[in-house]
Amino acid sequence: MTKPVLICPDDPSLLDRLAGQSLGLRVAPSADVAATVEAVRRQNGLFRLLVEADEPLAAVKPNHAWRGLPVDLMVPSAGRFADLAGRLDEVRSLGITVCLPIGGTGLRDARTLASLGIRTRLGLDGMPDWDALGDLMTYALLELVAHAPIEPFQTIADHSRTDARTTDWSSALFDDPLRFLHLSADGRIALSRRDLLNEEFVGDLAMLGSPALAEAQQARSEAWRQLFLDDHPCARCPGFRLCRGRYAEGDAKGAGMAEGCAGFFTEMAGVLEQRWLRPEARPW
Amino acid sequence: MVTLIVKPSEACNAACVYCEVDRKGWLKTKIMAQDTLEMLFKRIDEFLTARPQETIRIVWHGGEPLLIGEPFYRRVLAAQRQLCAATGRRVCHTVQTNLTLFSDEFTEVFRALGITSLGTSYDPVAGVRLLRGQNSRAYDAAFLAGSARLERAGFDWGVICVVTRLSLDRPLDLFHFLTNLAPQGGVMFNPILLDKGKQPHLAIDDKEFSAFLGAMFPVWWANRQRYPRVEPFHSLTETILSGGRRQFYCTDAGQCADTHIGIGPDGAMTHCGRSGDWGLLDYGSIHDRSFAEVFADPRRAELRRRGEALRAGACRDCDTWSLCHGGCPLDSWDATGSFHGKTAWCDNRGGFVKTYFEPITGIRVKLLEGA
Repeated sequence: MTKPVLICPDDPSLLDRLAGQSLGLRVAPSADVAATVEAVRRQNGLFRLLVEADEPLAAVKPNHAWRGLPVDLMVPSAGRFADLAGRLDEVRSLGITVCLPIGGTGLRDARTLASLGIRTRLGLDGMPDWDALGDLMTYALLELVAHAPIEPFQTIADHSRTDARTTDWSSALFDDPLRFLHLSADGRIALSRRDLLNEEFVGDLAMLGSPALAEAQQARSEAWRQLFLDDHPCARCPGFRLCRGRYAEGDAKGAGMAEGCAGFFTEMAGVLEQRWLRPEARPW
Repeated sequence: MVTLIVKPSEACNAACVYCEVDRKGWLKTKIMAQDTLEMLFKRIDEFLTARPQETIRIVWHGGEPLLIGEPFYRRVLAAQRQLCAATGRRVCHTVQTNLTLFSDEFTEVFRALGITSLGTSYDPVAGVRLLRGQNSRAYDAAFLAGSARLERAGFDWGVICVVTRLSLDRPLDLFHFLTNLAPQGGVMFNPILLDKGKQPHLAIDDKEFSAFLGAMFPVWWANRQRYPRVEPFHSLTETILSGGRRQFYCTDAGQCADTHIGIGPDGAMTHCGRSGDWGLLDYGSIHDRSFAEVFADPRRAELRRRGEALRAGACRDCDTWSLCHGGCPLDSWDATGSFHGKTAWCDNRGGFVKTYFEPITGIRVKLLEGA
């Protein structure tokens, strides 16, 4: 198994214990990135910087130390366009990816930013407005007018073309348990961002590289098979190849398979097939 | 290519409700002996040496072929290397397994035998496939664990779903379930084959099977790039689009007299796997007769005349003849003691084409006369 990337907070006492690992560092917008990156690179590989901001993109002061680094800026929204307009060139020039939630104005903001040439990433946890997400997905995958990629749609499109298997796009959200582990500040290991937030840990740093951790990672990666054992509706869903049961647990009320996800992923399968056609062969 | 359906054991760890192996009480754990295994490869070498252009495919079948363990397949590998030194590269292997016993121990020897993909069988309908002494959930869990191990080891796999009366009202459920589960290796829907009058609660007829396929076909046709290897649709379409020139399944090709031999654990030879299950067509022991002698058996000659007899009789006016060539001759043999009748599954091909394929695809089927 390939050594996973460890997504962890920028905590000196933790980083001291992670020599030799590839890291995705969660930092605040105000962090002294240059010093941190220099320290990390002395004994680690840097996968990405995950800058976690509480403010809208329009209110975040871009840090010029981000230039040339792989940066995901996580914001709750884009904010007022009037406030953002003057910073667009600066944001674009930094080459960062703006991560947005699927709630609130996230979907609208992703489309706006993508159309302005800014790469975005949607956190597809929780239950979105499936119709609105479908519109954005169609825009992301089929719109011929130039725009920046919107993740995870770009990853899904790339992977679904390369083979006929189910498309695992969890890596686009750093949620593939075989490739990413999420660490708490005190060094406990979670198999996903959601597990980290729910404080569901499989062990601590002593487990790194152990057969037990590898087994837990493998089991989580293959957990979708349980849906087939249970004859869950997801196993019989035409959209399963693209979602792999990601929404099987339904909403917070435990309502079962989410209303709308089946239609969304089934539509996406059709959209992807249209995307594979040469533009001149498309029916529009 | 000649296909040898070899049953190294007829014992099985499963007790599927329709299985002939279980009902006929062939549960003794008899494993193909070393001298029989060696004779198998001597016969293969002898046959291929005399036919420099020929190839042989061995389908390891059962019973459950993994029940006898990985050491047996190491002996297979050794026997092939020792006894088919010059002809072994014209031998390929496949395994038809329920996958519930697949473990990492099989990986190395299967790779050494050139196996890249395994055939499996599965049925999402509860209560059909069972592990001995347990329920179908135990079978399902063992199957899914086996498929996970198989994929981790880098093998592809396909799945056969046997359609029974219990599945008739769930065609699209089963279609999506199986194409989701085995998206790369292919999915094949076969009708349940039972001795006449046995297990009526499971039995279906050709029209019911045709209607079952017909409920799935529009989805497959509209999305055939997404589901490339769903059978019988893929092969049927390829056969039709090629004007009947492509090879279809053994049951439809009308050529099994020259292509198939079944071999049991004690070396008893029969026509194919199915005839072995049904106790039909004993061609004697591999210790006494060569493959060439089996293909020269008078009953094989009668089989070769079958097409001519059907074209002059029961299938005279059929314009989809080259899709099925009258179907599996064993259906006729089992029903009448003669090879010269058409299959009872006739509607599964010609009827399906007229009722579903042509209206849904808009393709008018015109096949080569006499193909």
